[in-house]
Amino acid sequence: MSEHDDPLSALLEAERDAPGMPADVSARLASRLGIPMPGAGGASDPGNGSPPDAASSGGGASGGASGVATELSRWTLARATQLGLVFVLGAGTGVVADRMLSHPEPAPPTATIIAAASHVTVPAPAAPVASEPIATALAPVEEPAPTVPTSRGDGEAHATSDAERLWLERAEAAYGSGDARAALSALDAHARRFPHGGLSEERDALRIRALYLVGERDEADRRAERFASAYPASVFARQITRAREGAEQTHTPVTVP
Amino acid sequence: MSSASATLEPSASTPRFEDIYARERDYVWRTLRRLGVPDRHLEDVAHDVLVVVHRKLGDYQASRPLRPWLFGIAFRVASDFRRSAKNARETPQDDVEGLAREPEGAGPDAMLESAQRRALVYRALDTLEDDRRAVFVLHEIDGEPIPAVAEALAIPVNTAYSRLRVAREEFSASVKRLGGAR
Repeated sequence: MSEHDDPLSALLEAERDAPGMPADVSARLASRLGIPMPGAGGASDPGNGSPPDAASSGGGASGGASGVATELSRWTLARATQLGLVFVLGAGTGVVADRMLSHPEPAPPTATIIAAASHVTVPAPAAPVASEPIATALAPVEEPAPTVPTSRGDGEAHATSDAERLWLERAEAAYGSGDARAALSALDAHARRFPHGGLSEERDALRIRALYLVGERDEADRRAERFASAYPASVFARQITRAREGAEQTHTPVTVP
Repeated sequence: MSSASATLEPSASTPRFEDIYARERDYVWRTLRRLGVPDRHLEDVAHDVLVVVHRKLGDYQASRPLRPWLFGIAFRVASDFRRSAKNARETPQDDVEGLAREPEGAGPDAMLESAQRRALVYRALDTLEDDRRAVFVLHEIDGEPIPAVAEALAIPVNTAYSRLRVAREEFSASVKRLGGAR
C-alpha cells in the first residue's frame, strides 16, 4: 500500500501515530525487568521513525499528553454519555471506513459523524446484556428510526443502518469482554430486529465464535459448515478458525451464569 | 515468567538492554497491539517479549536493523499467546484507553477520528491469518523493505511478497466489509 496512494494509506497512517506504552506501564515494566528508570519518563518514541535520543526522552507521547488526555477524557465522557462509547469506537469506524473508501479526499470533521450518529436511536434489547459497563455505555436512547432503512430481497443490494451496526457492536463488545452468553443474546435481538439486514454475515460469524466460546461445539461446527458454504470468501473465516482452534484446546466448557 | 533483572554485560557492538527498552518500548507496545494482543494483556505480553529480548541479546547482530529483529521476537511471543487455549478466543478490544492517550497537537475531534481509524485498522488486521498479518504490519505500517521482513520472519523473500499480496487484498476487503455495505 505504500506504493498505492489510496485511502487505505491514510488509514494506516493513523496507526503509525498510535500512542506508545503508557508511562505507568513503562515504569512497572522497568521495575519488573530491573531497569533503572531516571524519573518516570514517558514514551520514548513519538512516532514510527528513527529512535529518539533515549536520554532526552523524558516526556513523550503518553507522559506529556496529560493535559490533552484530561481534556479529551472529559469531552469523551460527555460524548459517550450521549452516544454510547462503543459506538464511537466501534460502529463509528464503519462511518470512517465508508467515508475513506468512498471519498478519498480529506475527511470532514468528526463532529459531522457525531452529529449524524446522534440521530441513531436504538431500542432496548429483548434480552438483557450482561456486560455491565458496556451495557451502561450503550444504554438505549429512544425508539428507532435507522438512518438508512434496511432492505433485502427483490435482488437489490441491502443497506446497513447505523442502528443495525450499533446492535452488532453491542454483541461484539460483549464477546470481546468474554461474555459470550450476552453476545448471543444481543445477536438474537439483532436477528429479530434485522432479519434481512446488511450485516448477516458478521452476525453469523460472531454467533459461531460465541457458540465455540460457551462450549456448544457441535452447534458451532454445524453453523460453521453452513457459513463456509454461504460465504466461501468471508473475511471472518480466520476468526472462526481461531475460535474453533481455541475450543479444541479447551477440555472444559466455559460456563457463564 | 522469570525476571530479566540480571545485569547485562554487552559487547562493545551490542546495544545495552536498558537502551533498547528506553528507545523501543513504544515500538514493542504498538507491534503487539497490531499483532492482536488485547489491551488488557499488553503489559504482560510486552514483558515476555522484553525478557526474550534480554535473553537473546547476545545473538543480535548490531550491524542489522534493530526493529525487524524485535518484531520477529514480538511476533513469536504474540503467536504463542494467541494460540493458547484461553487466549485464542479473545479479540482485541477497541482502543478505549487509547482515546485518553492521544498525542498532543490535535483537537478532540481529530483525536477521536484518529482513534476510530486505528480501531478499524485493528479489526481489519484481526481478520488476517497470522503469518500474512505479520508481513503486512512489518511492511505496510513499519515501512520495512521486504528483504528485511523476510529475514525477520525467517521466510523466503518470495514468500514474503506472496503473503503481502494476499494480505493487502484481504485487508482491503475487510476494511470495506467492516465499513459496512452502505
